[in-house]
Amino acid sequence: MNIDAGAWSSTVADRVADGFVYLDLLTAVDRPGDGSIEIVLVLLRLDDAAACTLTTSIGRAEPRLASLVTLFPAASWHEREIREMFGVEFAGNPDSRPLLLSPGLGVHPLRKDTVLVTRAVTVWPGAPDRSGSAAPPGAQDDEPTSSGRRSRRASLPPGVPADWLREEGS
Amino acid sequence: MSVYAVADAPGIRVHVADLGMACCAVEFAAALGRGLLVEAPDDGEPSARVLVVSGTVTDVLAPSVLAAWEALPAPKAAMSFGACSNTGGPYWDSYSVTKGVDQVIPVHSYVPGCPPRPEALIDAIVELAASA
Amino acid sequence: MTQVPEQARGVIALDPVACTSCMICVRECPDWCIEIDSHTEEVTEPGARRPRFVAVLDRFAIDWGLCMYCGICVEVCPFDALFWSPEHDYPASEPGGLVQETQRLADWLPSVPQR
Repeated sequence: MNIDAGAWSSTVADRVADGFVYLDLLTAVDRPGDGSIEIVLVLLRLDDAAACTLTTSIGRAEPRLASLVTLFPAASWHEREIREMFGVEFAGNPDSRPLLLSPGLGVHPLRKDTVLVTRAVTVWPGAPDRSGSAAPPGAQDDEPTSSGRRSRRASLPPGVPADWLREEGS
Repeated sequence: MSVYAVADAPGIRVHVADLGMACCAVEFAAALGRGLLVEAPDDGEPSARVLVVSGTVTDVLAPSVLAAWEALPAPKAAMSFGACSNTGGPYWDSYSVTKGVDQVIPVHSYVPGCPPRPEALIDAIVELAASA
Repeated sequence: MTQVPEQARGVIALDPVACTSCMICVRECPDWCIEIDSHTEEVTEPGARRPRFVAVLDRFAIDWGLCMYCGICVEVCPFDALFWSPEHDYPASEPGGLVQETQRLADWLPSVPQR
C-alpha cells in the first residue's frame, strides 16, 4: 500500500498496533524518472505469518522522511544504510554515524545516476578504435546500415550508460 | 598466526596469518582440510612469515589490513590471494572496494584465481619460502 | 604435488592460429581483462575477382590479476581459440606481473585436456 510521506510513522504505528510487530525489510528504490525515491517497508505478523508492505514516495532533490526508530530500534541500521546509499535523511534518527561506506565517499552509490568512476575512466578494450582494425570477420562483407546503429552499439561497453562516456580524446 | 608445514615440501615451515576477507578464505581452509598444509610445532625460526590476504579488501577495512601487516614481526611477506585482493577483481569498478591490497601494504606474491585453487596457495608459499 | 582435476579452471590457453581477432571475447569480458591488437592485411589470390582482407593478430593479453575465471570468453569464442587448462602455478612477484601475452598464453596449450 502506498501512503503519503506525511502519514509514514503514524501509519506504521497503526500497523504495529494491528500486530505487525516484526520488521522484515526497510529499503529504498531510486526512481529518477519520477524524480522520487520510494521507501519500502515490509512488516510481518508472527501469529499468522501475514505480511504487510508499505511504500511511500519522497522527493529526490531533498529526500526526507520520519524515522521509525521509536517503533523499531533496529530500523536504525536500515535507515543509516538508506541514508548512505540513497541520501535520504531520517528525521528523528539520532545515530549519525556512517554504517558501511567510507565517510569521505561523497556519493550515494545506489542512486541510479551515480557514476562508477573506475568504469567511466577506464578505456574499454573492446572499443572499435582501441584495436587497429578490429573489424569482426565478415564485417567487411556487410554493407554498413544507413542508421549506423550497429556500430554505435558495438562501441558502447556493457554496463556503461551513454552519458557516462568521456568526450572523444579526453 | 599458526605454524604450518607444507605436506609435499617437508623442509618448509611457515608462520601464516590468514586474513580471510571473503570467499577466497574457503580455499585456504580447503588447503588445510585436504592436508596440503599441516599444522606444525612452533619451534625455531620459520622458513617464512606470511600474511595471506584472501578476499575482497574494502576501503573501510583497508586500515585494519594495514594494522594486521604492521603487527606482524619481521621478516615477513604478504601474499595477495585471489582476484579481489590482486586488483579488485570482479569488483574492479566498485565504489567501495580497494583496487588491490598492494595500495595498502607491500605485496610479495600475487596469486591469480577467482578463487585460486588450494594448490595455488601451496605453489606461492613454496615460492615465498624459497626466496626468503 | 596433489593431482588437480583435469577439468579444473586454472588458466585459459590461447590458440593464436585459430584466433581471428574478432574481439568477441574482449567485448563480452565482464572484467575488461582481455586486450587484443590486430591489423588487416590485403590478400590477393590468383583468379580472385577482388582482394580479400584478413585480420592478423598482433597481441592477445589476459590480465589474470583481474580475471574472474568466469569462462565467458571460452564459451563465446566462435573459432575455438580459447581453452581451459588446469594449470595453476603462476603467481607473480610484482604488480602487473599477472598480465600474460600471446606466447605465454599459447604455451598453456599442451596442458589442455582432450583437445
